[in-house]
Amino acid sequence: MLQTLVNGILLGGLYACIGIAFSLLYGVMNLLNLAHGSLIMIGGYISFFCFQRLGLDPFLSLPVSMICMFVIGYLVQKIIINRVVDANIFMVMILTFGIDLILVNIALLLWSADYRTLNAPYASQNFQLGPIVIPLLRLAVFCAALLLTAALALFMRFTATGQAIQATALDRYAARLIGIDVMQIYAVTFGISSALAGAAGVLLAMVMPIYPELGGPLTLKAFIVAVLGGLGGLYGALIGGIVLGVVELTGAYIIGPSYQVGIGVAMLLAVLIFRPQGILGKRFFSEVTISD
Amino acid sequence: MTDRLSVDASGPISGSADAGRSKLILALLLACSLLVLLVVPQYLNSYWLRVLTQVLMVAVLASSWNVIAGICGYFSFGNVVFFGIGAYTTAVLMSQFDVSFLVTIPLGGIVAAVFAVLIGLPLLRLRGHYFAIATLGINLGAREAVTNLDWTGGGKGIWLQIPDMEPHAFSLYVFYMMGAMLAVTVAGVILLLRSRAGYAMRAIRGNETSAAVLGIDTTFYKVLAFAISALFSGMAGSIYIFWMGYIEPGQAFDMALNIQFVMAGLMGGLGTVVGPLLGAAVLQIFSELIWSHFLQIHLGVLGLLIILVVLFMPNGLISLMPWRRK
Repeated sequence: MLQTLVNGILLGGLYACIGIAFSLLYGVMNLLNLAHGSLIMIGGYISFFCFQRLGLDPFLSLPVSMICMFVIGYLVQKIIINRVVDANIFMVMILTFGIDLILVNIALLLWSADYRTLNAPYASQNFQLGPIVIPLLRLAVFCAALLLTAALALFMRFTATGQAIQATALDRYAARLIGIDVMQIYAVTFGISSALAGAAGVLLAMVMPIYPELGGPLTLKAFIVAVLGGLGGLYGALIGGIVLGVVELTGAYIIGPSYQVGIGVAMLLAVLIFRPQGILGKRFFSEVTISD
Repeated sequence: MTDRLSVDASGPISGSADAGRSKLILALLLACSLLVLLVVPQYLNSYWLRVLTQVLMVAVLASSWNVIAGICGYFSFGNVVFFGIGAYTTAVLMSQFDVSFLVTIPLGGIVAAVFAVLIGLPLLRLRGHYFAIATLGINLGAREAVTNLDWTGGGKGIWLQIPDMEPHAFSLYVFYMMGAMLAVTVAGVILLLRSRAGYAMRAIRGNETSAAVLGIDTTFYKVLAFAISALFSGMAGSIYIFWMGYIEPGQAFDMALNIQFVMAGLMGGLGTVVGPLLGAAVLQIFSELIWSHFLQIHLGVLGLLIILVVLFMPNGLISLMPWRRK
């Protein structure tokens, strides 16, 4: 049981990394990115490519993947999504779904539908901590995910770009009045979100197999994490990720592994109905209003 | 007839007389297509019959999705769950209780509608993205539940007995069932749009708070729209399982199908009667062509199509039709 808890927390760190990037986009431009999971998938494949063809250690390919994904994300927002920022939110959602289909198709063409795994040389090393076995790789992945989150928090707080992003999130029109190029900020935000997704993909590929249709379930997980933490907020998603990891694994341990997805969905619905502002509580720029 | 259409479009718009004439044209167009649908299928091979049945089915699903998303303004992103529930109702009733197929069609719709009321009461309090994703979650949850239950056949699914009919006659039979289903759905949507409930739903789409201030019982009408949407989707699901003869969770609660009818609705134009039908026909025939000619990249082409529609035709194909141009 304790072992399951530890595994859940370690997995949760990765979930948090997936959820934060997703939540960032929603907080800044009210966009639910249905292509998020596929961006993660592409990130994983980039690292797979670096490992297999160039012999690059997965942790070293992290920056490679992040840079590639930043460029892809920046261009997608700049060329496509920026054209429809004022459209109906669902049209934008459908648009990201179209992007998702294209990404999946590209992955299918380049890497085929096979399951791929990254077998780093140190993949099977463990160490013992009392009665608990801690897989070294999972611990490293957990730490990397936390470091990335911390880096994002520092970036948002202490750089001019980060503050411009926050200002845009608060009020787009006011941001424009004080000289912020909103469209540019949107593109940079999408780029950052994609870079984080790319990093999450590299970390994910180290602990589980990747395949082109991986995106859908990951997008749902990202959404669950973001809702648990309060959609739009950054630090809530950290808690949300760890809660999801722990609940999924302990639930699977108690009821049975075939219910793992069901548990996540049940938790999502429960939070949406009873506590739409997220576990931590503060309502961000969400549009949830309880009618009647 | 095409001549008259173009003259009308270029001429000055003269209020209600013009509106009456365009309605007449619309009715004539519908009558023609109905006639074509009744006569032509006799001479088609089973491949095209299958494609056309699929078109009709997506048109039913797009029209019923239109009730909640287009008319009431609540973007349900997991409406395929009602399709799956209808399909499973028929499958379970036919395989385990020997109920005749025709009886199970309305039952499939009713079970789906009851389910819609049950989930609608808590979920329709959510707005915007939250409602969309909650319905997406409901679909995944239903799929998980059906996979884990025993009496639904679990992950293995349910086989039906092969009906005692010659194959081409069977294809024709299913085609006409689906066609009749579409007629019922479209009639339902037209009646709804003209009724008090239809006005209430459109008021909710416009501005829910104002609608409530005007004395509209918003919860009631939202749940009603959801239930009507589920009713037609569930009945389509019943016909679908009879057509396929086999059902398993991944196929009943298929997100790809969900995307197809959402796309059909958006492409055609939401909130209108004809839009979803138009969208379903164009999208299905188009993707059938892509499937058969560019198998490797059909996902990408579909994705590109979605992007182009959103960027350049956000109000759907119906906005390009002559009688709509202003």
